[in-house]
Amino acid sequence: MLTLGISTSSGQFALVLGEDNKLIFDSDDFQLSEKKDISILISTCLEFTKISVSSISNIIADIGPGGTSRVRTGIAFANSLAYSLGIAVCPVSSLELAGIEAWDNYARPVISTVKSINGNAYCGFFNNNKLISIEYGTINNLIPHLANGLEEIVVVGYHRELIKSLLPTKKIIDSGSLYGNAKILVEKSYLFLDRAIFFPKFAIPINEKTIQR
Amino acid sequence: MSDIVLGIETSCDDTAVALVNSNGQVLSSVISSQIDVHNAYGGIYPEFAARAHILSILPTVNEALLRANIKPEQIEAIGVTRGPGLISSLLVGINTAVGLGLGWNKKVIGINHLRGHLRSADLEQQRVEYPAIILLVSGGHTFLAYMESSVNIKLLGSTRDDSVGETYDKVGRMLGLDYPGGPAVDRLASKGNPSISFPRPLLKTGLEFSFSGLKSSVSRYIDSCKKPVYEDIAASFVQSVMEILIKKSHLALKSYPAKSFVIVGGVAASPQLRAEAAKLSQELNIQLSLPPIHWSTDNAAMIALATFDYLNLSMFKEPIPELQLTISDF
Repeated sequence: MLTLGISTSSGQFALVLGEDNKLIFDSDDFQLSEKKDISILISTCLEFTKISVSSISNIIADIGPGGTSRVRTGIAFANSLAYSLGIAVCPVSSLELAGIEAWDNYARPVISTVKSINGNAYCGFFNNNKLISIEYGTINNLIPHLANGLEEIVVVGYHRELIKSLLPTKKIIDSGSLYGNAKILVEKSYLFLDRAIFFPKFAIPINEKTIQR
Repeated sequence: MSDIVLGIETSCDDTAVALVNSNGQVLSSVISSQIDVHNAYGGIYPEFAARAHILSILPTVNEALLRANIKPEQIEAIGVTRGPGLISSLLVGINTAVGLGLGWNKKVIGINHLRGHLRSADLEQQRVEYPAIILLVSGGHTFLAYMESSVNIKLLGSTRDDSVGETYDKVGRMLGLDYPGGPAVDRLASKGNPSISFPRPLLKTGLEFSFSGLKSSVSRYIDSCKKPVYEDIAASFVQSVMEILIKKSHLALKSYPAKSFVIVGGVAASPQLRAEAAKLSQELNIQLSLPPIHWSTDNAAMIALATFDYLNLSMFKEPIPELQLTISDF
């Protein structure tokens, strides 16, 4: 079973292809991420792997949060490719992606953050291999509440230093990462495939409005 | 080879998809409007426009295929607006087109939105006789061009600042009218007396336009009036705009050997402009080509029809956003 993973929420575009959780293409290996052009990524992938696009069984798409136009670029492509092939798209939050990678490395609760506008941020809380919540607001307001009752926390994202300063009595483990690696989309695809949706449903980007719903 | 193109248009605030054949026959045209999204702001809010596009693009594609009763295998190519327009909105349409093209194994061509507007006059029936003078008046653009044929186009003059549609919207907001301002201002104007002498910028200076001074003048007039009569302000504003558009068009029609005078873009729906243009065409004995009002505003049928021009010329423009396209560009 071939799974295509697309992640465009971070500053870099990433496209990965896997067969039964085994990575067979990663755009990072081709220094294509800065191109910010899905067409180049997918054509390189198909050329390199000699795989026909019609062989793809499902698409796992990063739905953010992240750069709003970048997220929509990836989702528009993922949705329309899934629609045209008659296959499923599986939506995954960028905060979940970050949480999975940090949990794998440290097996501790993870707070991952993504910068937003007007001093706000998206905060994801990940624990016991599961994304527990996504919240939107200022870091100063969200972090003390999310960290309540925890002794150790792994931090991922743009606000790592700020979080350390806000929680001086906690043990903070700095992951050193800004976001999760896209290859998780295929290497851990078994975590996401049960959320497969087919048209007329499709992936929708996460933004402050969708969180509040 | 089939004779049907799927057009996608998301350059601004409408999500539009259409299926058109090379004769300009529209097999389906579906438009998901965002007027309700932007009404509260009195204008288009780009981030909200892009959010609405991502929610409506696939259902709109699906609906266009269903209404036309066309299978993807019957489509020759996909034409998608690549610019000019709002970058965040363009990206949704372009990347949707790229995904569809890959899945269906169809060529995807990036189309100049302005060339789409010029071709809108030939949708459903051949209306334009070449050479032609074309006046494009919309929310994003205002210019006069000389068209030797449907593909050989020379820009004669464009606006130096605001477009005429944008000016209409802003004056509409000054008059407390809903977005989009154009139809509301025209309706209000029809009840008023054009008694206020607003300026006609650049009226006697070549074929370029300028509307920011007129807009400011309306604003200053409203601020200075104790009891402004909005109907009269609207009527006077519309009269100024019409005089500018018609005088410039007259000059262009006298300067170039045109067989027809074509008006496209959202402001082409203005009853006042249609009436004045009819008078001018009669006076100069030139054919007036006006697309039906539903083809005057942004739509994807015009993008699909323009795509045939690109196919015929083997002009395979990449579907990559280009914000600074002019009418001379493909």
